[in-house]
Amino acid sequence: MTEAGRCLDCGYVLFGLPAGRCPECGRGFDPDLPHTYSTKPPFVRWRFWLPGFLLAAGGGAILYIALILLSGWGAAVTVAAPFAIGAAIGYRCRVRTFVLVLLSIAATCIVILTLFTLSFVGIFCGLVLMGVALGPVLIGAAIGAFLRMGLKRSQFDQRWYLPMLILVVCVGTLGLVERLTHRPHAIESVVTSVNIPAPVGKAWNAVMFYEEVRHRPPWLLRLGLPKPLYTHGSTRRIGDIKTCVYSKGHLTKRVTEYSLDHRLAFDVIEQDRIENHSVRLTQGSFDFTSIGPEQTRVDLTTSYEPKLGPRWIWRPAEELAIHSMHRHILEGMRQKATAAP
Amino acid sequence: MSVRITAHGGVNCRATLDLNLSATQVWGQIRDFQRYAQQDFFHADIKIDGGIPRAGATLTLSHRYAGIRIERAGRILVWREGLGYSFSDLSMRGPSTGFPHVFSYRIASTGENSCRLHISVRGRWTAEWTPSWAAKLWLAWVFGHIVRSVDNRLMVYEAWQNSVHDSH
Repeated sequence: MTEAGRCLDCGYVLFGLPAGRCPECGRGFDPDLPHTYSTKPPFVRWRFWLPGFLLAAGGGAILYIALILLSGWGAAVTVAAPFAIGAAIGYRCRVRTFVLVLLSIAATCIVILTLFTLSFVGIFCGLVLMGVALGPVLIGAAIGAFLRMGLKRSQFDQRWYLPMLILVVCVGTLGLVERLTHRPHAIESVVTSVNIPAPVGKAWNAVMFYEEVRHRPPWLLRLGLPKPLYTHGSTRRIGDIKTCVYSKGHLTKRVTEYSLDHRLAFDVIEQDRIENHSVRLTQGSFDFTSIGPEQTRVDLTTSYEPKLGPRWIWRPAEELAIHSMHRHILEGMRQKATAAP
Repeated sequence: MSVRITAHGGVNCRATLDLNLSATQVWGQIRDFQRYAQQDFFHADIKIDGGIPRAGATLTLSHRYAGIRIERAGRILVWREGLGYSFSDLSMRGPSTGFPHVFSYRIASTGENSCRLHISVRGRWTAEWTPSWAAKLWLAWVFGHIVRSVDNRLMVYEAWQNSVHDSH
């Protein structure tokens, strides 16, 4: 035996012992017969992280779904659930810090992918949720790891499951409280203004909706919204209805104000499978202000009732998406208004 | 874990691990001298005279400091089957320079399936120009790493033992 041979049954290091039986389990071995012992150390490292990782990813997805169904998109889903996932990883995965971070990111990806597959989130919302969730996940992982180290040498015999159970109960209670105290979010409006180098009449005639824009939309819209297919209806007088059909669902708008060269406003009267889980679109308008013989300022407004909370987390992402759509539409209008007749 | 340095440079680092393994099982692991003497991350390689660890065997310990390898000498001072062992780690320039110290493992049974593993490093801090607080901080860091490393290895073994029992 030239290196530390181990007993095949119990892993006892046999190096330096004469031929005979393992002092621990009694299994026979002979240093001259390599098949009677093993030179490999016991390797069970996966037991240190895989059960915890599966618990965090699988349990996390179930927790997310339960909370979404229970209380909608609030702090419990956006902050507490990812914290619980991170805490489960920190508490149950005994690995070095770098691996803990990797496992936290991987579990978050799996949970978000599950939510996307089950149509609880779209691509854009899923990516934003992932970005938002990473902070609480990593903080949870750190706290879980510290808790594990704190309880490691304690005599508390329920430590392997009770802290995790308490955590899940706390997150569930938070979801229940949110459900009981839930109030609809106030209507919010996003306005984007551009100056179009054309007289107001030409700018007015260039009015178009998202689905009528010809040039390629930015990546955010391509990624986050269904593809527009066709429209029917008109927007030439008050009461007119226009339906826009997308690759998934449709939007129907009814004109509520029509003031030639000044304002076109509409209500959204039907929203079918267009980001329904995140917003309820209510109104929109185009406002035209002549600022010179060849300059028109156009203000494009979208109003909606948000469904995602906390608002300080989701509002910037929503504004980014809506401004991106507005700029895309207004660029389409600019191109049409400045094109040669 | 405690790390102490006396006014005369005497170093005494001690730690105790309470393990859910029998004393025989723990001895069956730490008697892998090469592996458990290398838990100090400065010990890059250890050569035992004659190959088999036993009391009196001389050692050549290759230390690695920031890419520089330094050879040190030592001897297995105590080797008691089932109880523990000690070995010295000395500078080639003599026994009174370059932090001469003795590293020891000692196992005490506390039950049928539990035991206590005592780990200690005793020696003399010879870099007198170093402030004692800095020396203590340094030793606490290195010794803490050794203790955690041993603890982790034995935890891996314990998990393996549990998996063997589960599969049976």
